[in-house]
Amino acid sequence: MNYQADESRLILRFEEDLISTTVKKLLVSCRHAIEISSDVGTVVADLSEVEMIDSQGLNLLITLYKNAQDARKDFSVCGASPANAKLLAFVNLQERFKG
Amino acid sequence: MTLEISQTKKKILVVDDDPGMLRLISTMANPAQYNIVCVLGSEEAINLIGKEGVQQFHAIVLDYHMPVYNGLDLLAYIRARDPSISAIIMTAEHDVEVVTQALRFGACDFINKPFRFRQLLDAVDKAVQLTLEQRYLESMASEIHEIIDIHKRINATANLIEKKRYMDRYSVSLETIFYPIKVTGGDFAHCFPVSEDRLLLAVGDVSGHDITAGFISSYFRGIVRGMVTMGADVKTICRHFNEFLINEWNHPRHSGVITSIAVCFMMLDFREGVIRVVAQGFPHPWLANSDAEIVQLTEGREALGWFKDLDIQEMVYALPDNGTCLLWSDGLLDLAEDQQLCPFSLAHYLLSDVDTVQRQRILQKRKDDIVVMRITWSDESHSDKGEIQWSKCRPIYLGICNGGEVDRIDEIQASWKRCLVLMFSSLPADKLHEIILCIREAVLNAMLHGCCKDKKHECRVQIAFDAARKILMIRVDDEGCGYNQSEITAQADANDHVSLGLQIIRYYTDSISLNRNGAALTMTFDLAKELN
Repeated sequence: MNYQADESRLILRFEEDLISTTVKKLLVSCRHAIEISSDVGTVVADLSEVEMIDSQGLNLLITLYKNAQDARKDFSVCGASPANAKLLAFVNLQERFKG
Repeated sequence: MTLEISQTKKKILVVDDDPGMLRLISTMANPAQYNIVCVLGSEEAINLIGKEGVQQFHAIVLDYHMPVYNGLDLLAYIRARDPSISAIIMTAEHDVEVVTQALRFGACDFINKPFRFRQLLDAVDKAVQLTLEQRYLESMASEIHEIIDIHKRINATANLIEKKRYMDRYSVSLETIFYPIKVTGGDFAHCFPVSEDRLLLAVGDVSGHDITAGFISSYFRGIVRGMVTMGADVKTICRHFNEFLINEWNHPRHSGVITSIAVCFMMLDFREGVIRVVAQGFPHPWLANSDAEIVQLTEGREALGWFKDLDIQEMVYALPDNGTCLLWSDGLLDLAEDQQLCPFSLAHYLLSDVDTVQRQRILQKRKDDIVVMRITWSDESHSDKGEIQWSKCRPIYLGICNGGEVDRIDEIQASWKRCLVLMFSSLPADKLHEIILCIREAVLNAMLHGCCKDKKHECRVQIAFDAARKILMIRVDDEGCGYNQSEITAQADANDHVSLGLQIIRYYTDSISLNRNGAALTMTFDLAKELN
């Protein structure tokens, strides 16, 4: 994963699937990125390069969402493939993750 | 190769436009050895051959320089009618190009005029010998082709079940494929209807990949057929053929490597409701039963032809009302491993009608003969048309992993993905994605919770496809004891992936059923819309 921050937004660009085998490592990287970008008002998860999200991947996004909320930041998701958008919509996360 | 030349006179055709040369050759040749037929010029030769053919001659001697058609033109004409005839070209030309062309047209020798007569006779002797050898080889090749055709016919008729219904209840269908690596081979799949209520199947592999192996496989099946007709049981047949191989076929007086037969006999006894299996050195067969489970039947023991004290054991299994059995030779297992495919998927793929470049590409990679037999039966007195009948579902994937392999889930997922992609190449990517995700969730649940991440506990993924109704059926089993409902509710509150995973599965599948408190999960996908 890489990230990019400007004055208002932190973009977390995921370069691998959000699945059981990657979530632990991704959570550490995401938390680090959020920590060092404490001034931004919005955290954006860019899923353009994500092919699969499994239940643990969903939990990762929910964890990031909650972490952002606790830090009084907005959280949104962009670039989800139709299949991943369908999954997010099913668990009612698409609405919550809208930018 | 040296053929003994019979004492009958050999007939030689000599064509020259010089009557003096023809007379000389005719006079000088030994009349006891050769019958020289002299023809003046190429046009006359063409007339003669057109009327009487070439086969009567054992060699031809042609002058190169003749009016109308030269010796090479005539050679081309003659060899087009009989490529086995050997020809000698005589010429006064010292032209390398003529020699080159003569050889290209199939001349076996070349004589420069003037020549010593002994030189011509030596050349004629060699040409006659060559023609005889060539004709012998052609006749052998033709006989071999006939034998191969007979073997193919035996294979083709081996699986014609005369009775499609047994005991007026069981509907039976049988499919086989045989892909030898050469023109024929020793693998075989044969069905022997024994009686009104019993069907004997034999699938085997004779060592070797040649016509000899094919011959032995046909001979073996003939013996089996005869013995079965006379009422012999499978164990007696195995013992008899083992003794034949050891005492006769593989007798020390015969040189070369011994011949063995790996074979699996499977008797479907519809009256007694049992399957009797004897496997000798052959990969174990598989049975898909009506509980959507794929189970391995007996392990193969020693092949026939190895040892005198053959260890034979007959295993007896309950015959499910509806079932599918799959038997395959190790050639299929090798190819599946090479292609990183589950053998069930590969067997199903090869048994299906698809004739694609991909199929040919996969088959080209085989290193051994491949034989596959699939037999399906269904008790129609119990059939409910509204329900999915596992017997009509083809098992296409079986994967077994343990709880300690959670970190390998991506690799394991790749194995069922490869199989699904092979089987359903026309399935939209999004649908495939959903199926793969659901299997992943079910397997993760089984590994993490059912097997408690313990490598001593296994979980099984079984996928079957009902081709008629286009329904994909996936069963994931673990060795755990399942959950109680309050556990699931508590986990749902904690956003645990067990519940979230189940929600995902419920969302994407067309049906889901949980057995053994969730330790066995069966889900279906109706692919009729996507595949039609």
